[in-house]
Amino acid sequence: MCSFNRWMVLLLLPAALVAQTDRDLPLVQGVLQALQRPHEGAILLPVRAGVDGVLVALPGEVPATERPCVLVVAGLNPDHRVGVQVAAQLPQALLAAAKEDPALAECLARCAVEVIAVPAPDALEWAARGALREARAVPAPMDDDNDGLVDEDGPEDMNGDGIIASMRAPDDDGVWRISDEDPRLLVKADASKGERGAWKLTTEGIDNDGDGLINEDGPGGVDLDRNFAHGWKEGEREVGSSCPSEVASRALIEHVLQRRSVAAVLVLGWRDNIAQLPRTNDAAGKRAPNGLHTEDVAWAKPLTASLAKVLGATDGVEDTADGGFHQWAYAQHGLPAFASRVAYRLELPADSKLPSGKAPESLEAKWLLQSDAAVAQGFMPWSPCEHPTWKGAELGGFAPLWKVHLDAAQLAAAVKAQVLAVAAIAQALPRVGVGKLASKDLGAGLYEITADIHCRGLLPMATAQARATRTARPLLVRFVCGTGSLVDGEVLTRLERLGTNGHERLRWLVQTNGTLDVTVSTNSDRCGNSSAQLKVEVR
Amino acid sequence: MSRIALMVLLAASALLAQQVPPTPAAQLKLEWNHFYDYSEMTSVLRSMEAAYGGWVQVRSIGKSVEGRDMWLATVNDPAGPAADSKPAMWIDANIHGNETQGTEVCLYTLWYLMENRERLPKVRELLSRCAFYVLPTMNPDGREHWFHAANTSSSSRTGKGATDNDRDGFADEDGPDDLDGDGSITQMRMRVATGGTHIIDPDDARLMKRVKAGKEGTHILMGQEGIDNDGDGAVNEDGPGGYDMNRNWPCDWQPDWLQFGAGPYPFCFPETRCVADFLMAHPNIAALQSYHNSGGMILRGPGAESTPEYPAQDVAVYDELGRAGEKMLPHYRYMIIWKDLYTVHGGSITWAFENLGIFGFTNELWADAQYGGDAGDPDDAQKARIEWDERMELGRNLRPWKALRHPQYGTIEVGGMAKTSSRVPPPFMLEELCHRNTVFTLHHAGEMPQLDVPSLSVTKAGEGLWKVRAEVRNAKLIPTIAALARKRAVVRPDMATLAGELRVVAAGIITGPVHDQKLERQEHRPERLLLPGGVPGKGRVILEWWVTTSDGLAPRGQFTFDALKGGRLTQALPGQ
Ligand SMILES: [Zn+2]
Repeated sequence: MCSFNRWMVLLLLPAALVAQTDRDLPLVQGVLQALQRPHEGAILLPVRAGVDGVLVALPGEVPATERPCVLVVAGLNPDHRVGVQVAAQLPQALLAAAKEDPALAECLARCAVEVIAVPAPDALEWAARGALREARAVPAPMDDDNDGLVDEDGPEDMNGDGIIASMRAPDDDGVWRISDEDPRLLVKADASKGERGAWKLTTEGIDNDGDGLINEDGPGGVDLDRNFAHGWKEGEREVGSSCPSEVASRALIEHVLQRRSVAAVLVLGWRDNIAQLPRTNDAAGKRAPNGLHTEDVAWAKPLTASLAKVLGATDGVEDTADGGFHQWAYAQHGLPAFASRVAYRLELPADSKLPSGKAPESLEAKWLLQSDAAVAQGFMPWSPCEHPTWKGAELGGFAPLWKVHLDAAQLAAAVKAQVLAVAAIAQALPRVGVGKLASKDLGAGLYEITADIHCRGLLPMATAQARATRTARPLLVRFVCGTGSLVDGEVLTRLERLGTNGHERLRWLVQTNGTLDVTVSTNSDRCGNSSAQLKVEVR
Repeated sequence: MSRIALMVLLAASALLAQQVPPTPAAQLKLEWNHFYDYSEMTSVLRSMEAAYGGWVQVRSIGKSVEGRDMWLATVNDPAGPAADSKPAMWIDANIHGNETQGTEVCLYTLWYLMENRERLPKVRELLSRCAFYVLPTMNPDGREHWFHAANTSSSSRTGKGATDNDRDGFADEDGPDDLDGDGSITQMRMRVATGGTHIIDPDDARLMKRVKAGKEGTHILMGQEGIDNDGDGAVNEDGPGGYDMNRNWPCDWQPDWLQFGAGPYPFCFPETRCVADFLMAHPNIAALQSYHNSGGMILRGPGAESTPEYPAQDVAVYDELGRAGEKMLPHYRYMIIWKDLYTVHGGSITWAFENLGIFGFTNELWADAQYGGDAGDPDDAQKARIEWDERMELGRNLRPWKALRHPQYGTIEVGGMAKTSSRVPPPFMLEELCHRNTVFTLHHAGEMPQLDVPSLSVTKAGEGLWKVRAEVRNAKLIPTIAALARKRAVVRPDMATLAGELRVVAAGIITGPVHDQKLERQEHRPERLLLPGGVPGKGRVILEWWVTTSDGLAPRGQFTFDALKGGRLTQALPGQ
């Protein structure tokens, strides 16, 4: 018999995804109801169908749907339940926090936050059913192994413990060997160092179609978070036949393109670019950059650092472009875009030692130590298993999703942390407006008009990558002369960027014999609109 | 006259009657010196469907941005197997709205196949084993706009999805304007006192001549006919649409900001998406032809230098077809897109080959050399073009300069050449263009895999043990699976199955030369052999099964070979 971890029962319950009161509802409905639950004094608008979610804001001068907005997306991978759990609670938590924090309240009256927690509802329900397993791809009929049969060889819960574990067996041709750090762990043998493999490793299951391979063509189809048009791995399995190829990923892109006011993105899921700042990499030749534009480090570094701080983000890995939604949002659409793994819980005392007496070096060894110390252990000891084709098979390894599972207290803390993260991003959004509008009498009915256009906030009016991709309109400054005529200066000025310190002075020359009446307005996709009027009785 | 002599005479005249007239009347009379607009094209397709008794089926595979149907004609023998079960050729045209004559080639191909399906043995043979999917226009909106709105020969390349090209928050608000109302967008010029860059050619008042540096001209050229519709100080900066659907396919796709027109993501346009969905759903398509204009080219991938050259076996197939094309199409050259033309990321034919394993070409229809004569330097070329137009088309395309009032510029003159003056052939030369390109695609179609089983044998190999051998041959140039498709695993392997009263003990593919053959065993599921490399062009594969039977008698059952791009063959084991 293989081991059974009691705490896993929690994960198996779909209702555990949503708040206590929604436990009786079907999973997706529960999440949506939690998202859209009314909150006194707040604006909560359903996001259009296809990308179900909610737009959260507080009443203000500008209609909520027209304000710059932070888009939060969870559930791209249906097995990243903790992301969905946090997203479901985010609107209420955000509004509650705004009651305590006037700066956040002011921000939510000026901006909006959009939370899309269930981009692929069927996939979420599907992943929550059946044995506990990693299921990053949304189900889509697909012949993964190119043998003419579709989804004919997926995993099986062989020992009936409700978990799809790892499965290993001794094999002279195997590519895995026992780790030097701990005998429970397997590492890939490095032939260049003269190492030899002695084990084969896969997930729990049998060779359903008799082709000699195990679980090579399960029900999973496309990993939505690898299905976007940046660094897309054309031709690889699970990335889809196009970028995007799926209804959900296309709906998400279309939503961002149509709601032109999306000004920043935060993705809650398996990926992370907060614990480790992406490296700098300008567009080289005819390719989009894999990393940050050099000029964008100026805002990305401090903002990422403050997000890492409020989230307690640790264990960063290189965020290499491979079709992720946040990668598309930044590199191809020029939005400040962040991805958070949500569950940052790999914490070890400084002098932790493995049973072998060694200090842990690999991530896996660190997780193993964490598991050893936990009440509900995440590592399932290897135990023999009857298998039709793998002689000496054993089931065990880290329980699926254990590394991103949070208990109730941890979950509450994670929600709070993400509220702070969203607030930090929203408060960093650029505030663009017409500052001082002034006139100078040059004599004989000629007037010089000056307007100061300013941008305040940690984020610039447009990221360097937004300018490179030309995806946001430039700031359009329109000059309207109510009386008299414009002698010099532009009716329409396009500003791709503002000068130093986010400031630009524009000048016009107006000839009038009566009242001087001018209006200067700014209009943009991602920084909202503003205008100022100057009316002087000159004669 | 004896009875016998009379009978001979009667028989001879009956024979004569069969042979005469040498060009029998067409079932469907169509003009091949005419360009068909979208609704005419639709009627032609409908009349073909009606005239050719079940051979041509027309259906819509989607809608364009403006809601026009994407008409697809399927050609298949109604008495034979379904089109989807046969090797098939896909033919499309006009993805660029202004590149119109490909549509006529498509219609001609349909018409020619149908009119000759009984008459010409080669057509009969082709239609007995192949099907055709023909999409005469992939951009119905662009086509309609080019026909019925003022354009140049190069405008209306885009579809009609509103696009904010100048990023001012308004879409398609400042396109060209037909100031003189002649149906074409020509040039604007203005007489100036100082700063002129051009003069009227003293030898030919129809032409403008650039003055040498340092000299003062009398005129300036001001670009294409149009006004500043949106009052932003720029003219014609945001016309209808403003993208390129042949940059929209997920094949080394690069975004709009790196390559104009690519769109925000692959298949964002309904036109490209519905075609892609169809192609992906029809793995029986083994050949593809896409018509563009112009330049006289037979193009193949790769589209960009960063994509490695295709495997040698595939290149050999392309070369043989491409060179045959050069012989059929005078003034056309067989070329590689990135190397001999320019870089294209996200093109349709490269996508179809690299991601679906379909051998395909883009033909750039019409070469200027076909006007005849020597073009010489650019000024002379313009002159030669006008002279040709006057002599051969009696001035059909020339728009003499005429003065008019421009709301922003004041008095200007408008003139030049009409939209039909280049890229499309003169109408009287259209039929030849249609025919030559049609026979090139039929040649290509004729080289799609043609499989047969020259030998299937059962021999006793021991007590209760038999050896079954099957040879599958491909008589044509195109393999059932391209080498690149094998490498990228984008085409399902061919399958060779043995089923019946037998048990397969071991099986595999015979490799090696005749004198030293080896059985390359398939360890798992030997009754269903998978051939990821398919059957090579003009080649064969030999398959072998070692079988036992429960009653000790010779095996009974059948051999099946199933190739997505080569059809399905079934044969009973001999000796039954
Ligand atoms: Zn073209």
